[in-house]
Amino acid sequence: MGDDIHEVERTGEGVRIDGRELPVELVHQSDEPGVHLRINDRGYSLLNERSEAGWRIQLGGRYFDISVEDERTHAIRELTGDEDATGSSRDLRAPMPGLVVKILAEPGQRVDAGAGLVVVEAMKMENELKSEGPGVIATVYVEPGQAVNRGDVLVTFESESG
Amino acid sequence: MFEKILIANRGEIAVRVIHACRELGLGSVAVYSDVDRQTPHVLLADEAVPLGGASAAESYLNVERLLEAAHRTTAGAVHPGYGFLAENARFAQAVEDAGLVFIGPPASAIEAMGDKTAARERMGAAGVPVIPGSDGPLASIEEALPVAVQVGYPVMLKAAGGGGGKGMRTASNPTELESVFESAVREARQAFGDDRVYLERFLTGPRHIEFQILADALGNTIHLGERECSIQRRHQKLVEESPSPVVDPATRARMGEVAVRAAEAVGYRSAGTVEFLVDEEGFYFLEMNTRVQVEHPVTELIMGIDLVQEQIRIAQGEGILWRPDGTQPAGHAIECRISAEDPLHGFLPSAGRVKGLRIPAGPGVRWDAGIEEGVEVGLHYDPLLAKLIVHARTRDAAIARMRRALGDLRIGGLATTIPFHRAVMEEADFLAGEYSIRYIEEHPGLTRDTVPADWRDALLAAAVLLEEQTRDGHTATADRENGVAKGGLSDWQRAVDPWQRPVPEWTHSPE
Repeated sequence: MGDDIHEVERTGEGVRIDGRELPVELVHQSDEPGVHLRINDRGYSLLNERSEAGWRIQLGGRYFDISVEDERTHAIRELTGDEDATGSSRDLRAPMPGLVVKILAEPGQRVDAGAGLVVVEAMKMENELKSEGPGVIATVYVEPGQAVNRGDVLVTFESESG
Repeated sequence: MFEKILIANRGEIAVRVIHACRELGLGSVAVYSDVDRQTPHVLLADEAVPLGGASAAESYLNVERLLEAAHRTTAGAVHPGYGFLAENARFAQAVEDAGLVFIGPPASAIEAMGDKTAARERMGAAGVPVIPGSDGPLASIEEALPVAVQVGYPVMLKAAGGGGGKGMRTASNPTELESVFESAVREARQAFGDDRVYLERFLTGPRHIEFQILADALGNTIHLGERECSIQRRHQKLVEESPSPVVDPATRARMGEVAVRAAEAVGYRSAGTVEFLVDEEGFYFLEMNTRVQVEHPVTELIMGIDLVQEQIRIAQGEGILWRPDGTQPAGHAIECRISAEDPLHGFLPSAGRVKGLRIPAGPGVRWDAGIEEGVEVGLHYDPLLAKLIVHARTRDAAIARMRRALGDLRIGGLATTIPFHRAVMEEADFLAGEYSIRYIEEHPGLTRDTVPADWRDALLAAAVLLEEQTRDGHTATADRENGVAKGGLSDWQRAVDPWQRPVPEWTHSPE
């Protein structure tokens, strides 16, 4: 998936990230949400919440999902080869809740990358969802007028050879 | 005169109007939908009346309910804010017919400016320059095609019934025009209940510069200088500043005079905004917004005026208190719209419960907000959460102040436009004041995922330390220490950060 993977080792004073020693201090402010982190004396104000695989952390107004895995869990996962069992990442999913306005593709149709597939209206604006890559449409799961939630599969592609 | 005002709106503008009421010693009545029961405007107002429903149509657009609420609370006037019914002439008339004061222009002026094609004609007749385009609404694509040829591509389709970016589409050739016509009509119908669209030549890289107007019932009409609003996405403004980096005093005087003439041509009263598109060849009337604007605070800060209080005073029949002092602005103001949209994922709307809110303060910083800690932000209404506005002596100082204030601002629980604004405040063309309404498409780096190296370290370290803190009991800690002591790698943790977007790319219809 092109994820960055880093080895972070806990040391007495802080952490070692990819071989670099960094002194770290984590400061909790009583009831206030979030934490304050100091690395090499430099401060960062972070908001953290639990996520499925680790932590969802906000910094500078942006959210970052960081999954944390210890060595043992990682080794088990490597052995079972359980990388991503949740279906093809090329399926078109609703990136947000909205209302389907129009379907632009039909099953069996071959589409190019960037071809419009479904038009979804949200917050009174129409948004055309496009195909990430070239492919053949397998199934269209929605119809105009239908409300969709974030993450709903809208269109699936036929698997390419193999 | 009236002593209590019903605010037919929600969010930050409702809060803004309540503040004005309170400072003027007037009572305030909030109205709210079922999902807004606990939002700041409801809790802040003297009185609050439920409208029921969740959708805008059931609640904030429900004229009957709004008038009932005014009657029940004996409010003597209605402030419409912006959006919802603010530019609906029938609503303004219904308010007046119910014996209440509408805090805004006369219904006739709303109607004159609200019908965009009629407004174009009227402005042309009053000697206000307009963009070449169709003479009236276009009934069909067949009617639009020859007009487009006559006007010259690229062209833009616009809703005759309203502004704000809804129902607008651009086309650079007949094929594109055919493909966007239908959705422009559909969006116009949904947004304004009026599916008429018209066509104008699309200027390729103009600036959007607008003039604040104030007119009273005694016949005084003045302008309060300009606002530069070129940083837009899908015709929704994101950053506004005043004065404009490109308007000198002579240009300000000339454009301001035209803006005043435009307002006078429709018998305007109250606060309003005349919008212009400006390119090398000149300036053109775009439209007049017959209400208070989202970005009104930048004018307030440099002109030392309270526009909402002026609206109320004018509605009470008083003359404009403020006198233009050669209309020269004092210092520089910038506003960033903080919306529930994710700029790093195609400005996708986001929703969630606000937590960890930290509001910037200190010299020259203003925060106009419709959110508070714990407020649930949904997808029913406009995504605007708050406006961060700064004022300083010079443009450079204002930018530095905005950068500082954005650094202090924290909103957890949902994605916001904060990262976009942080990027803009560092971007060279913005710093130089050289930008047009194509700014965002010309600077894709502003919405791209780039992570400073030290952030990455901070995030990884935080994740691992947080993980450690939440582990059960002492055993794990002891094991970990053993592992480290034994020589390192036996107990490292592996942090995987999917910087890549987890959802398919959200791309938008061509404009």
